[in-house]
Amino acid sequence: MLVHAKKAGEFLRDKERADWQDKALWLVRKKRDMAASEVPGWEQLRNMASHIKNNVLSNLDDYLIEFESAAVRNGVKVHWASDASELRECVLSIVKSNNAVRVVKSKSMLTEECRLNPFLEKYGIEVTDTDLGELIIQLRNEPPSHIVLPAIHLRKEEISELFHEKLHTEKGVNDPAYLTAAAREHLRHKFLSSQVAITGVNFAVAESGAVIVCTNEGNADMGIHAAPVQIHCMGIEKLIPKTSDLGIFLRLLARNATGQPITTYTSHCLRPKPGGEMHVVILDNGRSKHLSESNYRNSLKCIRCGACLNTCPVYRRSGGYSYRFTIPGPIGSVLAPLSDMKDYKDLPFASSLCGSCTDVCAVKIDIHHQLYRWRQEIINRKLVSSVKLLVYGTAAKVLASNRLYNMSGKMARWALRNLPRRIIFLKSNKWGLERELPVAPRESFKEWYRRNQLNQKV
Amino acid sequence: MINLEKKIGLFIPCYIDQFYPQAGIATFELLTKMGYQVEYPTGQTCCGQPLANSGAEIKAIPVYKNFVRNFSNYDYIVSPSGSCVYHVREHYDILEQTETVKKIRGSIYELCDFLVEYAGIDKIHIKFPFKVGLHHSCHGLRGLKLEKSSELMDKNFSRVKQLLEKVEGIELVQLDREDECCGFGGTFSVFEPDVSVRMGKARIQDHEIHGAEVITATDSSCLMHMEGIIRRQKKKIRVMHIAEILNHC
Amino acid sequence: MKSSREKILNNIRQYKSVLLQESKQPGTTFYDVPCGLKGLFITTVKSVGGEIVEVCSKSEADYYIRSNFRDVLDFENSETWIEYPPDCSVEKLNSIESAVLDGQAGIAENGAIWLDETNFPHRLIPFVVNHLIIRLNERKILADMHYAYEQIVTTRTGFGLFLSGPSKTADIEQSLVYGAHGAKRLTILLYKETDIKRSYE
Repeated sequence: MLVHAKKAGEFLRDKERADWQDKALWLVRKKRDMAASEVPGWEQLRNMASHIKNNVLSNLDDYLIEFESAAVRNGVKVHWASDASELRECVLSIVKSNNAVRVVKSKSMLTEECRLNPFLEKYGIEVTDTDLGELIIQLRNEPPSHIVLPAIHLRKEEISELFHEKLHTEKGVNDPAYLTAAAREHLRHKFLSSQVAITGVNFAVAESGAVIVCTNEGNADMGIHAAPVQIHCMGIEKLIPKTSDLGIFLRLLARNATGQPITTYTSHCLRPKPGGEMHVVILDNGRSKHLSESNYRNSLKCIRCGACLNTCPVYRRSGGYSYRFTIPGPIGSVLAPLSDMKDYKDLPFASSLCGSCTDVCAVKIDIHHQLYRWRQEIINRKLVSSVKLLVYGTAAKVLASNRLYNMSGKMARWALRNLPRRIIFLKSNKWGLERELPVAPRESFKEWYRRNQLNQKV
Repeated sequence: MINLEKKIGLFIPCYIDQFYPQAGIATFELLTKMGYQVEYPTGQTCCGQPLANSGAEIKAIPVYKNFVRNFSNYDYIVSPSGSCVYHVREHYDILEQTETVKKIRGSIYELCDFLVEYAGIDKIHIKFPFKVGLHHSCHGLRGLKLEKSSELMDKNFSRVKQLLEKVEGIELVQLDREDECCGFGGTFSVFEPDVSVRMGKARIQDHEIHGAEVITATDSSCLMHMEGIIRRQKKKIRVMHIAEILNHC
Repeated sequence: MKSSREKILNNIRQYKSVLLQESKQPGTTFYDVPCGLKGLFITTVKSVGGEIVEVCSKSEADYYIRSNFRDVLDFENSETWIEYPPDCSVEKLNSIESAVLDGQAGIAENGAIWLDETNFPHRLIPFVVNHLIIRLNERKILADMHYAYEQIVTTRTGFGLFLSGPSKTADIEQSLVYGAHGAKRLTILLYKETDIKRSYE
């Protein structure tokens, strides 16, 4: 069985939790729809965002150089990291050169991708994730299961239990407001004593060198303005050309992600604070190579809004962990095989190709078309079992021949009508686990047509 | 309305041919009743979609070629299947684009699309006094753009509803999730059986709680999947291809 | 690090030359500005969890603040700036219960207010206080983000932000809670003023 399918099956066994997650994420999708419907010209905004990102990817080197020049002129230190290991070393070196041991970090899928936390912790550096959802999973020692709602897989009772154990809240009190207040107090202390603050980057503006960080909680800002040293980590593709382009992306981002008109805080970071240091680390880690993949380069436009996860009927019913990749869901299923085709060859098949993801994507990535192309590549490279390849080869021969097709169809219908149920519904018949097979008619359409001599040239 | 002298080639998908011939018969009768010259080339087999969606489009080329051979001489090709039509239009791009291939890709229509575009839908006078849940099959919806999908912020339209609303006595039910996928997805239904079934059950429940007696769609594949669950759970709700409703006597 | 930079840029040059559609920059579309910008702004501020009070003048706004809120630090006063300078300790900032700042612009479509370093001496201030109060001249309300970026110079100081409502989270079972790490409460005093002393530039 495909890895994703197996894990999805496990996820679905807890029916109540699975139903809850499905409903919760569908609600976020509906909120997105409502927010989008209130913006006249929403589809044009998507077109413009897609256009701008296409332009960026076509001229990425020039925009990166422009960004770097502007940032350096602003007094920002710009670093370049070819891969995850270089990013980790770079961040460590900044932390060490400031003799820091207390680091706070706001939500950054990129630092997840680079496994930054465990690396820094090895050197005795305390890293506290400050986004509430990220804090929760950090305390549980788990990865995020969603790129915007990291703890969506957890119920409030579990969080209450966790906070009772780790933050000494009252046992059995599940009220989200109470639990949030406890996290606020715990993290307030962390912010005020932090020495380095790390954030991700929502958008980096080439013309001004500005780094834009969007949060609802204010945790990114609490960190970067309290700590003397701030580090912003970004992928090379996070650039946008002009400040005015932010108008387009900021109108799309929060609405598409959670149905809000904008995040509470949209911070524009240009220069270090007086007496402070501001660093930007630009990461490649395979992104430049993605540019060469004509089938998949579109996925570099992604602004990580998470809308495709919320709309995907498969993600909602399989949970983020079924994907085993930093970024799950539809966009994750395109990105994961780019990073490791063998390990993630099941993900392009973890989709019914319904196309909902493509229709919600803020930057019009043709996600489901890319999944279709991935499937061809995986079969062409023979990454599936030889049994499967044999079945496909045989099926192709049958379907290409009228005679073989007619004969096979007749045999299949005969078998369905005559074989005992216990043979038809063997456990290996995955269709038959919870579904009946169709009633097999005695006559196919073709036979009916011929019998009625409706075709003059038989 | 197109000239009735135009030749229409009828493409009946493999699973309708084998398991739901009544949908094919309804399609044939419907088009014939409207006065069209409809021919079903008997050498046809399959459009190749099951193979291509599994990643084996290269292996499917001989299947594609058989399709092209059988349908090379028609003015229009009509099929009671959104997904097959979408497949030919979009994915036959891997064949050499001869004049014949281009013509086929440009003249193949899903049934409802053809009826609204060319056939003059005022010709439909059918009684079907039942509560009907319309399942918006994904390929027809988002692929062929037969209707506006709920994700897009565009003007509302639906070719399928345009036809169903002409049916006397029909009551279309409102659903909670209008166009969520049923979970068939071709080989997805057997590669990811748990998710597939959970999705199918959710669709059926949505129709049931809103009082639908019949679930209809442009694709029998979706209906086959939902019907499989319905019959296993011994539910009363029925499935019918839209051609069967439009051709109802 | 220099070699990483060259490596990355060379990779991009090599791979991007495999033709990606060259796209011309699209222009920004300005939509018909809806009438009743003030009404829309008030509605959206409330919908994002903020409070909004309409007053007739700036002095009435000040009066309202003095009468209704205690322990308020007003950052319009130069004395406050002197007491809380840019190198102020974070612990001292953390002791501020409520602060009043002046907003430079309000955005009707999302209830956001633009602030930058001309509005506060230390960047932590808009986030660390429990209750943030913002005075805003109603004539500075703009329709949407396109107008915002056209009219506001967001690069004037080293840090600026759009701030919409009090801090919030829904990370626990999607239940909305106000007061995550930033301000628990946001109050906007929206006042009329015929002569505008400040401009954006």
